[in-house]
Amino acid sequence: MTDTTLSLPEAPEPSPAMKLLRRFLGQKAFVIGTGILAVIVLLALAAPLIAPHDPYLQNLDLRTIPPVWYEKGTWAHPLGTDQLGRDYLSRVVYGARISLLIGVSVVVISGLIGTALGLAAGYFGGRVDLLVTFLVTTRLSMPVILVALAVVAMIGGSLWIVILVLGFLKWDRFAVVMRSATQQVRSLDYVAAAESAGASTTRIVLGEVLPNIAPHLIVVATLEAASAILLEAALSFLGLGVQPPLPSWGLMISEAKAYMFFSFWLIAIPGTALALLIFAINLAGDGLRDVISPEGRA
Amino acid sequence: MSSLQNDVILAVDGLSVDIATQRGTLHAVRDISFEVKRGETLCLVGESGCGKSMTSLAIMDLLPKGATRRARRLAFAGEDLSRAGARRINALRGDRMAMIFQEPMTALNPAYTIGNQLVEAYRLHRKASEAEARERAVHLLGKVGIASAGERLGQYPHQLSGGLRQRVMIAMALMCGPDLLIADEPTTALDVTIQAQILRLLADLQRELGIAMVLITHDLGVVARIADRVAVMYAGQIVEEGPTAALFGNPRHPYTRGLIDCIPVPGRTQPGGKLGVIPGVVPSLVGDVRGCSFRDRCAFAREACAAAPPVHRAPDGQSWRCILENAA
Amino acid sequence: MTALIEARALTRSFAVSQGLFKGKRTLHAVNGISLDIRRGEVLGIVGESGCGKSTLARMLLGLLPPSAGAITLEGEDIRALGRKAMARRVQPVFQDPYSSLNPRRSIASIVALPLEVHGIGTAAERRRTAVDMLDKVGLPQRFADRYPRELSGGQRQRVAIARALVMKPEVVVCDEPTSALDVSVQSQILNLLMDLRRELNLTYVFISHNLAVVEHIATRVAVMYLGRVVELAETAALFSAPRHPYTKALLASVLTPEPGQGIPETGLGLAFPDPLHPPSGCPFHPRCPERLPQCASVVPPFLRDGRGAVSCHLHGPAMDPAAAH
Repeated sequence: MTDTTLSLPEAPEPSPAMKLLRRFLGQKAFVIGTGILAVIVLLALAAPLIAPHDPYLQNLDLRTIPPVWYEKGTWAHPLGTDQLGRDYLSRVVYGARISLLIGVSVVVISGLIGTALGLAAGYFGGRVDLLVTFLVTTRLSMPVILVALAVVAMIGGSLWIVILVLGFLKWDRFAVVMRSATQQVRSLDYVAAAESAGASTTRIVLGEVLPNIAPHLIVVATLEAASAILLEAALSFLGLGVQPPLPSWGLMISEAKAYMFFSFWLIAIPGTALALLIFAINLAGDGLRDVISPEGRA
Repeated sequence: MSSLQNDVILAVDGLSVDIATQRGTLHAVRDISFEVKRGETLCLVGESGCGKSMTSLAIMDLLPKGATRRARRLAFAGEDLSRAGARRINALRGDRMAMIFQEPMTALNPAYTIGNQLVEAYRLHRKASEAEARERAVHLLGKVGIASAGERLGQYPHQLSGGLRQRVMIAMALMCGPDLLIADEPTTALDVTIQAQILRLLADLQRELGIAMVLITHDLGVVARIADRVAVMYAGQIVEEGPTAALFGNPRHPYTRGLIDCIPVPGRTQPGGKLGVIPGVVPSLVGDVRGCSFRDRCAFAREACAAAPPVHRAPDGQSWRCILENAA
Repeated sequence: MTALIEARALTRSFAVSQGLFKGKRTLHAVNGISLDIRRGEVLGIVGESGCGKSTLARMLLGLLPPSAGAITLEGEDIRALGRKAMARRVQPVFQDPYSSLNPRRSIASIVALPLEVHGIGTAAERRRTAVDMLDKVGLPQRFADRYPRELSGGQRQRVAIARALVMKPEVVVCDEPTSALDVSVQSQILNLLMDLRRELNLTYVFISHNLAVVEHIATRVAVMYLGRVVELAETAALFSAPRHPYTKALLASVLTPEPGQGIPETGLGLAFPDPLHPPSGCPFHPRCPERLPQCASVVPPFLRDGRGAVSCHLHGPAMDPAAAH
C-alpha cells in the first residue's frame, strides 16, 4: 500500500537551506560580488563614522591636495581634497550613499511597475497581454538617456527627479522577464489546482505565482540597479542629474574634469569607486542567476 | 561450431556504467552481461532508473558527459568495441549498428528535409551518388509503409505526424542495412493505435532483414508481444533473463513476478479488484551497493539476501539472480 | 442512479495561429459533447492525444468556460455556482505530479491550501486535517514538512490526491493520474483511488489513454475521437462487444502481457487524427476499416439505446440490417 517505507540506510540529507547555501558558496563570482557589495554598503551606512571631515566643508587653502601615496599627500586627507578643498575620502564615502540610494529606489519603483505589468500580462494573457506588450514596445522606442535629459532640462535636476525619471523609465526589463516567467508558471498544474480549490486570482498570483518567479525578479533587480547607478552618474556628469554640492560620483567626475591633467586622482577615485560597485553588483547578479537556473545561462 | 559463434551479433560481458554525481558515484549499470543473436529480439525491460537506457547508450558509446563505461568485453560481430577507438565506433554507428529513439522529433534535425537526412545518413558511410542514396531512401520509406515516398523526401520533420516521424526514423536506421538495431522506447511517445502499427512494422522488418534487435521498454505488454528473449533490469542489474514465454509463464525472480502482477489485464484481472503492488522504493545506487538490491521490497527476503545473490540457471535458458532456486 | 453532472452540447474551440501570414484556424477541441455523470460511478474517458479529453476535464472542473453548451451540477449551471462553491464539490488530480505541486510550499501547506482558501478552521486545525488526510493516502506525518522535490513521483501523486480530497468533494476529475508513473507505482495509486472511492463515496471521472487501466477502474466508459464521444457504454459491455470501429481498433491495440499472441493488426491506415484539419462527415472515416459511402459526408448521429450510445453509420437505425441480429 505504501511506497514510503524506506528502510535503507540513508546518508543524512542536508537541509534544503544548507544545500542552497552550499550552492551559493560554490559560486566564486557570487561570493566575490556580494563581498565587495557588502563592504560598500557598510561604508555607506557608516559614512558619518568613517568620513574624517564634513563632505561639504570647503577650504580654499587646502585645494587639490593629493592622496597619501603621493609625495605631497597627508594623512589628514587620505584621498586628498578636491578643487574646493573638500575632503575627498568623505565625499567618496557619502557618494556611495547616493549611488546606492539611486540603485535601490529606482529598482523599487521600476520593479513595482514592471512586475505588476508583467504579472498581469503573463497571467491574464489576451488583451491585457497585448496592451502590456504595446506599452513595453512604446517604452523601448524611447531612449532612456534622451528622455531623462529632456525631463530634467524642462523641470530641473535633483536627486529625487533623477530617481523618479529613471524609475518610470526602467521597468521594461522587469515587465518582459516577469511576463514570460509568469506565462510559464501559469500553465503549470499547481496553478490549476489552486483555481480548482476556489482560490481568488489575487491569492493565486501572490501565493502560487510570485514566489516561483521571485528568483528571476531578484536577478533582474541587480542588473537594473547597476544600470540605474550608471545612468545617474552619466546624467550627473552632464550636469542634468544630482546637483552640486551633493557628492554624487558622476558629479564629482564632472566637476574634476577641468583638473584632469593636473590632478588625475580627482577623476580616478570616484571613477574606480563607480566601476567597483557596478562590477560587484553584476558579479553578484550573474552568480545569483547561475545558482537559480544553472541551465538558463545565455 | 564457428557458424554458431558468428550468429552472436552483440555480446556484452560485465558492462558497468558509473555516473559522477555531487553525492558520490552513481552505479547506473552494474556488471551486466547478455548476448543477442542475428535475427533475434531481446527486450530490456524495467522501470525508470533501472539502467536500461544507460545500457543502450553505453553500447552505442553515446553516454552523456560524466558517465563512464567499463566492460570485460563488448563484442559487436566478434570485434571488441571496448577497445576500439572513437573513429572505428563512429564508422560502425549508423552503419552496422543503428539506434531509434523515443522522441523522433529530437533525433531528426528540424532544419533539414527528410530526404536530406536519409541521404546524408547513407552517404556518410557508403560511397554512393546522391541519386543512388535517394533511390534507397524512397525504397525504404515505402518499406516502412509511407506512401508517395518521393513527395515525403521534400518535407520537414515538423510536417509529419508522430507516427510518420517514427517511421522515418526507422527508415533512417535501416539505410545502411545494419546488423544491430537498438530501439529505446520507440513507441512510448505514440498513441496506442499507432504504437501497435509501429511495433508490427519493426517486428516484420526485423524478421525480413534478419536484424538483431535490442528493444528497451518499460511496457511489459510490448515485451510479451515482440521479444524472443527478455532481460528484466532492476537497480542497474539484470535480475532475470529468459525466453519470453518461459519468463512470463513462470517468472522466477520476485521482482519479475511483482511487476507482472501490477498490471491490470482486461479479462484476467478482476475489474475494481486489488492490483498487486511492490512496496517500498528503488534503493539509491550512489556509493556502495551490497547484497540483493530488491531485498527491502521483497516478501521472500531473509538474512542471506544481504550477500550478493547467486545466479541460477534453468535448462530452458531462464536465469535469475536470487537466493530462491524455484519460482517466487 | 441520478445524474450528478450533466454536460449538454458542450463545445470548446480555440483560435490557433498558423504562422505569421496565414491567419488563424479554429480548433474544435471539444465538439458538441453531451454526457451524464452519475453519482457513485467511475466514468472512464478514453481517447488518444488530441481527442479533447483534457479540454473536457478542464471544463468539468470549471477551469475553462465552454464556447457553447453548458455544464450543470445537480441542475445548476456551474458558471452561476461560482468558483468556491464548485471547489467544495469537484476537485482535480492531474497527470504530472511534478508540475501539480507548488515547489515552494511544504506538503502540509499544499494539502491545507483548499481549507485556507475557504477559511475553514484555524491554522493548527487545518494542519491537523491535512496531516490526517496525508495519513489516509499513505503518507506518514514525517512527510508533512517536506517539500515536493524531496518526494518520488508516486508520493507526489498521493499528495495531489490528499489535496483533492481534503475538502470532502463529491466528484474527483482524474486526468491521466497514473500516466507519468512506473507500473509498480501505478498499481499502488489505482488501489488507493479505489479504496478512497469506497470509503468516501466518491464519483470519479477517470481520463486515460490506457484502456487496461480504464477497464480496471471504470464502471462506464466514453470513447472520444477528435472532440466527440463516439461510443458510450457500461465497461463490461464496451470491452466484450465494442460497436464503434474506433473502439474496436483501440481494444485491439491493447498489448496485454500475454506472450505468443503477436502484435495485433488494427486495420487502421496511415492517416492520423489531426484536430486542426478534422475530416468531413464522421471524423474517423479516413482511418476506418469498415467505412460506408455516406461516412465521408454525413456526421453520424449520437444514438442512445439500451446498451449505451454510439455514433456510427453502421449502427444507425435505418441502415443497420446487420446489427439487428
